[in-house]
Amino acid sequence: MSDRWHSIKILKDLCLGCTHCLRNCPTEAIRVRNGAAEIYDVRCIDCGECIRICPYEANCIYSDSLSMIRKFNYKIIVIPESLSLAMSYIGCSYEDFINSLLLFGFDEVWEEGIGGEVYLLTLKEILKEKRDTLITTACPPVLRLIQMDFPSLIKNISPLNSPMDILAFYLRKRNKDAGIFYLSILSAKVTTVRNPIGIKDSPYDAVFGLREIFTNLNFDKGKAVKNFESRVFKSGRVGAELSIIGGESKFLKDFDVLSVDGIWNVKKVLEEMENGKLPDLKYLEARSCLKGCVGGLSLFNLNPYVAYFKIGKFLQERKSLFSEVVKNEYQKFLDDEILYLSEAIVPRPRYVLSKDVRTAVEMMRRIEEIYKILPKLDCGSCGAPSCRALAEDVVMGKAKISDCKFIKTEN
Amino acid sequence: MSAPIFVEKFKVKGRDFRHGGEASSKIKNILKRLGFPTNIIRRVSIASYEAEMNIVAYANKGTLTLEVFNDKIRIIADDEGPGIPDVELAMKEGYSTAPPEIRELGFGAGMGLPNIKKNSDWMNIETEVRKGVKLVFEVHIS
Repeated sequence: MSDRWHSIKILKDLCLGCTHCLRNCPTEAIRVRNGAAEIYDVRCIDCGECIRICPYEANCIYSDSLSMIRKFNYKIIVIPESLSLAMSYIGCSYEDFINSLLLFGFDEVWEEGIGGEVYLLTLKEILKEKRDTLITTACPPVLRLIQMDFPSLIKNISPLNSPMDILAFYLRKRNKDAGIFYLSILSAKVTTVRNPIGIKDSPYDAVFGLREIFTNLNFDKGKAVKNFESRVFKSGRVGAELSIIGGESKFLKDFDVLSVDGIWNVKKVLEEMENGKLPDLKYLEARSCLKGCVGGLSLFNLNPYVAYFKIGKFLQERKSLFSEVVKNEYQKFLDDEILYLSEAIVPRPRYVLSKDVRTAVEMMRRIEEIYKILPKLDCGSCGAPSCRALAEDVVMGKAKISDCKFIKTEN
Repeated sequence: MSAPIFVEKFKVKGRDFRHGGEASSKIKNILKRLGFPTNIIRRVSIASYEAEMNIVAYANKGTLTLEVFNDKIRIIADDEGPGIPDVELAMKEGYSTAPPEIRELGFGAGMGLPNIKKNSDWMNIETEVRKGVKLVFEVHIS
């Protein structure tokens, strides 16, 4: 899989070429060209901020086709707990939804948090030994941001597979021939299945977006499924709470953990870490979406704070701390292939102007020269997110100074 | 001595904690664009942040200048302010003359200069009491 693969696609027909996404992209990955937004693939971290801000729904998230599950005899789907919220929006209970998945043809349904429980239990042991700060692997845009903007922090990334991957690697060991699928509510996790970080191949065979599920599933209520109890695997409270910010820190309360949510806030905290301002920090729980994964439900215009409030009730109903699987089979997870990242995470600096320092210096000098004559309004009318970004694009040969509306009128 | 291949100067205001750190952040962004190794950038960032915050916390105003050479990065922190009466003492970890209101902001722990020394390959301080400080440090690119 190419490292340029991303799950967010812009629908050019619907895009007006306004500047909402342009200016709300944390990595300045978007440009408006010829009246429509474009994404610079090397800069996109799949955080989904552009999807959330777009007033015209001019972007969509890739999904594999549900029909592909037919290729497998035995089908297992992993779902995030935050789905429970989405269901209330279509007037379907969570139980009925899981029931519908089984009726559709999935043989087993597993909640992602089960992997989270194993992640946290293992992490706790690692943190006891480790002196440096570790950064969570649960949120892929955070990892991509580090690869791009904070490569000096790569060494701080937790050595563990993400919760969703820990679970899938375990399921793969348990049932070698099964098809293993992930139902994603977020752009970021679609990308991480297609284009994983720190492992060669994703343990998932396919990833489905919410839209794909909603348009194909029959939400038959009350139709009983055989052996429902033995085919549905639910997480305990510890695992389910990984869907909200603070879930990790709650479990790791004996350590100095900083919890930060919202990609812009994450950027600031990583900046502080890089500047050596957080020397005593043990663990960074960072989530790209406000209030954690639950705040990222991208198909609904759901406020993250409302989502966080609503899922609280759902989480309280989980009386047991750990899932039955983890209680009974934790030992079976203790396998390096299940627990640990197998490949080095490489830096992908997006800023470097040229591999040759002298050329880069010359370009930098021209960027500063151009920047000085730009109006510094950061209005976005030129198609770049800021005056400085335009200056850089001009020097990189991707834009012209005359793209600036103000310079045009003055001449 | 050869001339720097790139120079950029940033103004730093004294007591402006809201914008304190911006100059060193800009320096870091320039170095990232020039493609320097991450460990070099990290060391320059930490040291230039400390130098900038020293100006913000103690001086009336000053400048932070980035000079890029083929084999090293030099930062010059030049300020107009009270100066440092005893440089040797100021270099000791934990020694600080910061008043309580600055300590309350999380600065003035007496780690600034020692931290700059730790993260640089060469440093020099010229200072005159009631005039200011000129702090120069270099990180070598091996």
